[in-house]
Amino acid sequence: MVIRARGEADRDGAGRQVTPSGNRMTCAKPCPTARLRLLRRGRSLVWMLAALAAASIRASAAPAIGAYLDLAGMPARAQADELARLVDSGVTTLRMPLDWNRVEPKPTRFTWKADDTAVNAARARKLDIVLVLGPNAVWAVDPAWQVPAKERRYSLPKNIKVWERYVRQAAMHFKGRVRSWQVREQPNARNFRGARSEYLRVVASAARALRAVDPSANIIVPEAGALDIAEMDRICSSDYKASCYILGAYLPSANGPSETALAWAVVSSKTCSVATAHKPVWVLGADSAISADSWMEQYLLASAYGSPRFYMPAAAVDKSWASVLSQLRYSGHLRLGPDVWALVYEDASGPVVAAWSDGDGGTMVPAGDLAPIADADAVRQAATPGGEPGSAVAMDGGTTKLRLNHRPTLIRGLNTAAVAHSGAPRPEDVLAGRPAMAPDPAAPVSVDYGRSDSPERGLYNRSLRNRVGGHVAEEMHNGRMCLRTKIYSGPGEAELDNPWIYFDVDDRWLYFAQGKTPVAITIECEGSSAGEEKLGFNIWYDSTTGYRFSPWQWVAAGSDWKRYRVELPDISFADRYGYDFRINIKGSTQDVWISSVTVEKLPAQTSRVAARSAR
Amino acid sequence: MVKLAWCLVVVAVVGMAIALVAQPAAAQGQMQMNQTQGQPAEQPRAAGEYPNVGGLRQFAAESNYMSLPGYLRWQVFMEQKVWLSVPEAKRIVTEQAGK
Repeated sequence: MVIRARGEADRDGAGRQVTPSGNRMTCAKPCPTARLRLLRRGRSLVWMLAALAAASIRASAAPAIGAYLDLAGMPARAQADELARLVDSGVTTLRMPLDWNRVEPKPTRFTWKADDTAVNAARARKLDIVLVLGPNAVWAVDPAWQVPAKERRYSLPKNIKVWERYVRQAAMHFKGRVRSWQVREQPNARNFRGARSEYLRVVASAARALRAVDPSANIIVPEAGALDIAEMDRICSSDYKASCYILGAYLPSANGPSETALAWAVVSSKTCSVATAHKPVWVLGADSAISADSWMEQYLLASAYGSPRFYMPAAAVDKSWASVLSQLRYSGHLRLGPDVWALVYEDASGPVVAAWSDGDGGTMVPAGDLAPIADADAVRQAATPGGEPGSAVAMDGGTTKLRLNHRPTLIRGLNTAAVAHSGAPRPEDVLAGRPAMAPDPAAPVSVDYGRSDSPERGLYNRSLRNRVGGHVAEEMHNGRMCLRTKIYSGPGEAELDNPWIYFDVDDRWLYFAQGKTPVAITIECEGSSAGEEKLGFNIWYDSTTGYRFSPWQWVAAGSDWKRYRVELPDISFADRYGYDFRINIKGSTQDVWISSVTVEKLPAQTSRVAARSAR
Repeated sequence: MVKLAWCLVVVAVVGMAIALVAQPAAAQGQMQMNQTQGQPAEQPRAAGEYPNVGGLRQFAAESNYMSLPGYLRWQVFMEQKVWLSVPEAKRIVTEQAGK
C-alpha cells in the first residue's frame, strides 16, 4: 500500500510501489514521503497529521441543482406535478425559455399569461428562476435573408432595437421576480444562424437593456457548447466581459470525466481569464443527451470545481441520486489508481468519498488499498446513491473489493483528512491520472503508420476517423504505409467526400496554448502525380481566435516523397470540437498520400503563419 | 318511462359529444407535454461557430474555386447537413471580414 504524491510522478518506474493488486493510491498534494512513513509508524502521529490536514480542508457549498424545461408550454396540471417532483428531488432553481415568439407573437403585441403562470407557480415553490431570452421571433427576421421558415427561430433580428425592446419589456415585466437572464440557448452554428460578432452584439444589447431596468440583474452568457474553454477565455479577455456576469457551460456528451475535469481545471487556473476575471461558471446542461451515470459524475466534478449551479433537463433529474449528491460539500480528492476518480465530500454524517471508474469494464479496488483511511467495515457499506448499503462491494477470493464502474459509489466513515488534498485537481493532477504513457514534452509528436511499434506517438488520428469528412484510410503506397484521403466532387457525392485528416495532440504534450507556444507541423507526402498546382492543402486549426486556415500550400509534381512545414504561431489546441487541427485538401484534383505528420514546439519569437517546402 | 328513456338518450349523446370534443384537447395537451417536457425550446446541439473563411482567396484552390459565401455554404453543409441561404452566407462572410 503506497500513498504516492503527485509531485513524485516523474519518479515512476524507479521507485514507484504498487499494492499487491496493482492499484496505487495517490493524493493530489505533493505529500512528503516522510509523512507517508509516519503514517505507518504510530497511531498518534496519524491522528496528529489528520488533524493538521483537516484544519486546512474547508468544504465548499454544493452546486444548486437546477432543471431546464419549458414550464410555460406545459398544461397547468402537468406543471404542478412536475414542479412537485422536481422540488422533492432537491431542485432549487429552474431555467426556462422566454420564447420571444410566445410573448410577442406580433410586433409590440406582448402577452405574458403563460410565462406569468409558470414563473409564479415556480416561485410559489421557492424556486429561483433563470429566463432564457430567445429563440428569435420569426417575424423579426429579415425576409431578404431567405431563412427557411422552420429555421427562422435560430436566426437573429434584422433590427437590434426590436430585440432590445423585447428584452426591456421582459425585464420590466419580471422585475422583482426574476434576477438571472441568459442570452439565447447554446448559440452555436446550429442554434444561431449568424456570425460570432452578431451574437456578441445581441449579448451587448441585451445586457444594456437588462441593466437599464434592473442594475442587479445577472446576465448569463453561454458558450457555444461542449465546454469550449477557449471561447470562454476569449469572452473574458475581450470587451464583452463587461456584458457578462456569469458564463454558462454545456457539458460535452462525447467526453469522459477526464476531459471534462481538464477543462474545469484550466478554467479554474490563473492561466485562464475566466478565473482572473472572476466570472462564475454555471453548468447549463449538456450538448446532447447523456446517461444518468454521467450526470452524476459531472455533478460531482462541477461541485469539485466550485460551479454554483448545475442545470440538467428536467427529465434527467432523479431523486434517488440528486437528493443525496446535492447534500455533499466538496473538500478534497484522492487517487485510487488509473481510471479511478475519488473525490472527497462532507455531509451531515461526516466525510464521504465519491468514487467511480471511467475505464471500460470497471475496476475492482481491494478494501485493503484503503487501509490508512478506512476500516473494512466502512468499505463494506459502500453503495451507489440510493442503493442498498454494500451494493457496491463484492467478495473475490475471500477479499472484500469495491466494485467501481461509471456510476459513482459513496463510501462513508473514512478518515480522508489524512490523505486528501483540499482544492480541486489541478490540470497536472488530471493529466497525471491518464493511463497511457505521456509523450516527452520537449520532443515532437508524430504519426507514422509505417512504424510497427506505436505509429501514433502523442499525435492521434485513428480515433477521429469517424468524424464527418474524415473517413481516411491507411494504405500501402509507393513502399510506405500512408494515410489517404478520398475526395469526391460530383453531384450527390457529398456523403462520400473525405478531404480532411483530423488530428489531436496529446493533452499532456500541449493543451490550451493561448498562442504562447507556436508549433510547426511537418507533412511528408508523395508528390502530385497530376502535375503542378493539382494537389495542395492547408491546415484548419484551433487558434486563439477560433478555427482558421493556414495559407494554401501546393504540393510539387513528382513521384518522390516531399516534406512541407507549416508554422502556426497562434494555436489554442484546447480540443475544441474534439480535435486540434485537420489537413484539408479540398481544392485539389487528386487525393493525397501522407506518410508522416510531425508536430514540434517552436521558440515563441521565431514563428509566424507560414508554409514552405522543407526540401 | 318514456321520459326516462329520453333522458338517458340525451345524457348519452351529450356524453359522446363531450368525449369527442375533449379527446383532441387531451391529445393536444399530451402533444404539448411531449414537445416541451424536459425539452428546451431551442434544442442544444454540439457545433461551434461557422467556419471563418474571411482570410481565404475566393475562386482559388483554397476556396475550392468557389466564392467565399459559396465555400462557407459548402463547409456548413459538409459539417452540419444544413444549407445556409445565399443571402445569409453573404452576410456572415461580410461579418467575418469585419466589414
